[in-house]
Amino acid sequence: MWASGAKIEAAGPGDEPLTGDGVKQVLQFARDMVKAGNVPEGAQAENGETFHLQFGTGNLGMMGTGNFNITLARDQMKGHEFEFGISLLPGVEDGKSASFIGGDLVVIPKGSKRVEDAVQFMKFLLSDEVQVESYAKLLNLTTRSDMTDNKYFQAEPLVQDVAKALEVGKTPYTTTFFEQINSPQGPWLQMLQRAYYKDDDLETIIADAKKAMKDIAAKG
Amino acid sequence: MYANRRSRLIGFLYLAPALLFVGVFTAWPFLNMFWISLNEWGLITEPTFIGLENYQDAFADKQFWVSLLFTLKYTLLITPPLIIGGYLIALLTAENTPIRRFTRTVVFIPVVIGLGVSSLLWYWLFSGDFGFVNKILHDLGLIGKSILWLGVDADRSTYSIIVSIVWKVIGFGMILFVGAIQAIPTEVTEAAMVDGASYWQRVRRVILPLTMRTVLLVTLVSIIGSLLAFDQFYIMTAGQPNNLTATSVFYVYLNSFQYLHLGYGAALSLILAVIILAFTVVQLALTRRSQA
Repeated sequence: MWASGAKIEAAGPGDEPLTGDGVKQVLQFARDMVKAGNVPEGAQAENGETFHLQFGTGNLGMMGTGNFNITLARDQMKGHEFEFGISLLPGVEDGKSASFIGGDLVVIPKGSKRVEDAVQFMKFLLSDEVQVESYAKLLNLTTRSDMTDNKYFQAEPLVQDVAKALEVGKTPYTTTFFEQINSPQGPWLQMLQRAYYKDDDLETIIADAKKAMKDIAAKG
Repeated sequence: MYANRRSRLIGFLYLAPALLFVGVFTAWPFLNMFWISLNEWGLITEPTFIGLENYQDAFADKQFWVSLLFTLKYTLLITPPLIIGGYLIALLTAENTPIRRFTRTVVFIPVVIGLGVSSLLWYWLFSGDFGFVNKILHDLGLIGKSILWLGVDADRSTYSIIVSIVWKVIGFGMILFVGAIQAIPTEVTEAAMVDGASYWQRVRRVILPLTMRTVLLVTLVSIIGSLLAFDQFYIMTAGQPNNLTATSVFYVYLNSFQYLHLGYGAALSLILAVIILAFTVVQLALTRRSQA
């Protein structure tokens, strides 16, 4: 959806979520994939524990995941005939792509009594040495896009592909991210489940999710 | 007078460690939780006092009541197989012979496995595409297409989880029932046999009444455990489909630690605690009546 120019979350009270044609276009695309049988049936009840096993079925496959799976796949598939590559998440138009960046955030809470110490710590995390010798060495993406050209990434071409995500990647910006997006009970997942596995009108599904997300953002 | 006061002081000193323990680990956290429930608190900010607003929100929160009703339904469904099943296995294995001891051990082993671990195990067994359960049913020719046991149909998910929990917990009741049955003096059952009572008559008229206190205890523990169900649903369905398998504690967890509405989560916890307390009071009244 990002790659198709859509906006996902409500950043705060009054902000409009799920805007742009990309929302409906992508939901329709995914719904068509499910209906055509191109998505494993078990995906409907998947909690993340077994989804990687689909690769063991011997078919060509595609899964959305993080760069941490590169080392995992290399270790676990050693000695097996297994090829894999990496692509950024595509949009509905050719040549458009996006990616999710984030997961772990370093923030200074409002009212913090040790702001200067926190800033020093952030500077330390963003220093050249930590970015390369701590992040890149473990094949984790560097936080800084200017640090991707390092010896560890050069030795692992797949990570170089992932590093391109830093240029087009987005991080949702809202204090109610979990409630809106990540929660199994939240409107985002409910919207996807409804769009993929029910025949409800997509406009209605989006409108319902939009209202639920706005309500959450309004409560703060 | 002096001796009386002295003996009271000594009595209090004997009680002091227990009182201290209950005070620090039960009373204080409970009072603290009540205080938190009167505040709006996002954990990383300072709490703001809002009085009973969280309780008002809870009573108007549809999802909380859906979760509570589901939890009650789950408790109602899982308690009979745990108690009746556990009692039947205890009857079959109460006598001390090598094969019965072995059976008791096998039934009891899942009790010592962590609930999180067993839930993950059963999640894999019930996996739609790769699960052992579907594989067996397929090989036996009972199904032609994989069944999605978890997260798609609310009833099917609930029954699947009940199977996993019965496997995990039934040994706990069984071992207590075995202890209670073995504590019945042999003279009593032998007297019933001499009077011509059949096996089931002995069970109904002698063994069951004499083990009723244990039955009530296991029922109480089982009901409380089921009302507090969390791990199995968190791991196996995450409340899906459409939040229809979200238990009350799962909802409390989401509000408290994922949505960071700590005050609201505390209010939900207290409401749940009152409901569990009501069950406990009824159960204790029944226990007293059976003792009378």
